[in-house]
Amino acid sequence: MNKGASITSGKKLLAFVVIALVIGLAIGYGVGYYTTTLSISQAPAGAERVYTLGVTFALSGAVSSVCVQWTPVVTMAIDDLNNLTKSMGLNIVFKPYILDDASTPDGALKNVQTLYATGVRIVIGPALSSQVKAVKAFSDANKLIIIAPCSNSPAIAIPDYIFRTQPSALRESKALATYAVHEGIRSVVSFHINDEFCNVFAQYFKKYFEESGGSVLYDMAYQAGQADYGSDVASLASWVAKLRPNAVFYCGYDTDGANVLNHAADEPVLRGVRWLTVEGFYGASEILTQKIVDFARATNIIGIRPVPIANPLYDEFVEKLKKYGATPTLCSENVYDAVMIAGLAVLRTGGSSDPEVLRRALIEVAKTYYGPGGWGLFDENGDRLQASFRLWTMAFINGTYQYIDIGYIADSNIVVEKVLG
Amino acid sequence: MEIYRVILCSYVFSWIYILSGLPLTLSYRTTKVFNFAHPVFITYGAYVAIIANEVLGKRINLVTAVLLAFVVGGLVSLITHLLVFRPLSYQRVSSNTYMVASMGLWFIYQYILYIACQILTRKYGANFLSYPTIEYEDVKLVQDALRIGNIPQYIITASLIGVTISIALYILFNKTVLGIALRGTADNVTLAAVSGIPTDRLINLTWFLVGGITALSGVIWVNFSGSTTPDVGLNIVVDNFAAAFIGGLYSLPITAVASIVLALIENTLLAVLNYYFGVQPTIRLAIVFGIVFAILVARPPAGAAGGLPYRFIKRVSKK
Repeated sequence: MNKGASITSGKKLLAFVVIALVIGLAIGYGVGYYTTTLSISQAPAGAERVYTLGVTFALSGAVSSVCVQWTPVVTMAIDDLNNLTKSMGLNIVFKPYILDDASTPDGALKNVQTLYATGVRIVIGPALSSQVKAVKAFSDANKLIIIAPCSNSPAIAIPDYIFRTQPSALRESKALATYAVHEGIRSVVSFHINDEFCNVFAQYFKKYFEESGGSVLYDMAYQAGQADYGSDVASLASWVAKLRPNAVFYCGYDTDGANVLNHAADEPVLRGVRWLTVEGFYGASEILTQKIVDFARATNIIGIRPVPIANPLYDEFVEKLKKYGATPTLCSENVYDAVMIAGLAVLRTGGSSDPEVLRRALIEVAKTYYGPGGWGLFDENGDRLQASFRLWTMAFINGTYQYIDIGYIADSNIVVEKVLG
Repeated sequence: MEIYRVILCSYVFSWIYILSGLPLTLSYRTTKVFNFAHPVFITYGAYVAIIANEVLGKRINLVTAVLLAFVVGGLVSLITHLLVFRPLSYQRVSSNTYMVASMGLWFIYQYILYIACQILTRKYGANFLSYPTIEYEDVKLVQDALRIGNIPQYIITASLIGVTISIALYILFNKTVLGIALRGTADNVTLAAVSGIPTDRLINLTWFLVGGITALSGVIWVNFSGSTTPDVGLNIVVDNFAAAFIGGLYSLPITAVASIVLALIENTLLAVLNYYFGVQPTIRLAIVFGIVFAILVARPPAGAAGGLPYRFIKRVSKK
């Protein structure tokens, strides 16, 4: 081969590579600049400015039956934000970008990455504590603000870019332990799904219950994502028959909860003890069957859920949500508050994409925000500070099976307002 | 120990795995397609029963559910074959292509169901994403008439469907010309075609039976489980495939035995380990698959694994 020709072609190749690199860098810079400012775009004067709030919800999978009912709540909150900007004469429109994370930690992480790549800087969701844990590293690394509306595992109560409009479960587990002792329960068998929230809740419930003189005789976890939990319930029945506790402490969610309670209703030994539970399956419609509600009455099952007591804004929220064809389920009010606090923080910063500015604005907005979920104020870990709890059960009232509140716990005071037969 | 309920669970799961595992083996034997979308037929069978239950004002009979599920499951399976697998077979694609195509189909079917559930939830006001147990009216009547109300309904449903299908399959494959032709097609499609057997039609029929029979396990499922979700098939898939693999994707009797063994391991054995040794049920999958691996190592499957089908092994070893 001719050496001169080879050198010439080598130079041409080098020149081509350099030119391609320069063009690539220019394109990359342009794309990067565009994507990082996309969610809070600098529109020409007079043009409508669009703010995109990212949303990752479990629209399929284990907790979907609760989470699909959050979508109308987001729509309502976005409408309220847009009405607010309109009334203030601001030419700003909020839009949600909703993705389905299939109730899985991986799904939540992928969604958060996708939303970040499209320029979103504030994400509402995910639902479960295990999912929030999965997105934490990405959120920390990229200073992406996450506002989780239903996660409350104490394990992720850390000062970072994750905010939670649900109070940490530390106080909730203590409140449930206090209630159990108040009811004369001295021994329990703990039965819960093996996930972030329920494992930690069961752990703290045990701690506080035993500090109050109670005893957790056996702790049994079952694996999430199974098709059926019949044999796990049969194992629970064996332990209850052997240990004779005063109560079963149960922590699960809607789909597995319906399955577990349905099987438990067939076990005479499990109908013979009291049941205590958390908010995991509160609001799930599949629980409200004759069989399960009969079981609930036979066992006097009492649940606890973090909701502000006597909040007129909550009642207004319930009425307004009906216009969107939805009824509130677990954490619906926290979803609304999360969207509102995010939107108000964006307005407060004038559309900044700086995560530190947005983070500070969120904290400041929450200090003065009061919504259907109560006072928005965050604690030092970014978790909602205000924590009071309602006690609930299920019953057949006025011809329908429904969840009803029977009392509340606030500042260590337990008030039982209704006693059902 | 409350062993009674654990054994009932094992019994029902055995039938569910048999009714979904046998058709998977059958479809592979006949078409050499390992259909990853197979568990969708379980889900569709369950949802046919659920939708019919809502349409009929929550008063559905087992006979109605069985007929509807069989036809819908069969049609979905047949359409899948006609629109996807058959065109691929004409192109003589590799088995990997079939696998990828069937995985894609799985997701498509799954999301079609999710969309349908959301529409139906709005229309009927019931939660189709997590549906409670269905009680069959006609089975209830039989229970009342025979005064066997203390036997859980799902035991009767599983027994009726399972035994009927098992007998029907036995008669079909061993006592009818059609069944012999189906077996001939499964063993050597070229030879069968040369012999004048209408192999295309028989393969279509096989796919219809595969979808229809698998869908019946969904009919049992909604009567047994406390909550049915669009992920039912997905959650059963691992056990389902394991049973079929132990049977070498060839032997129907071994697949049936493997289904029973798996159901016993993950229900009865796990409950015993939990009660007597404090083993938490969270390690269920690890134990189940530890035993499955042991079985596979001790007795490697034939058929799909590249060896001879079981029924030839004895003849070869005798020689």
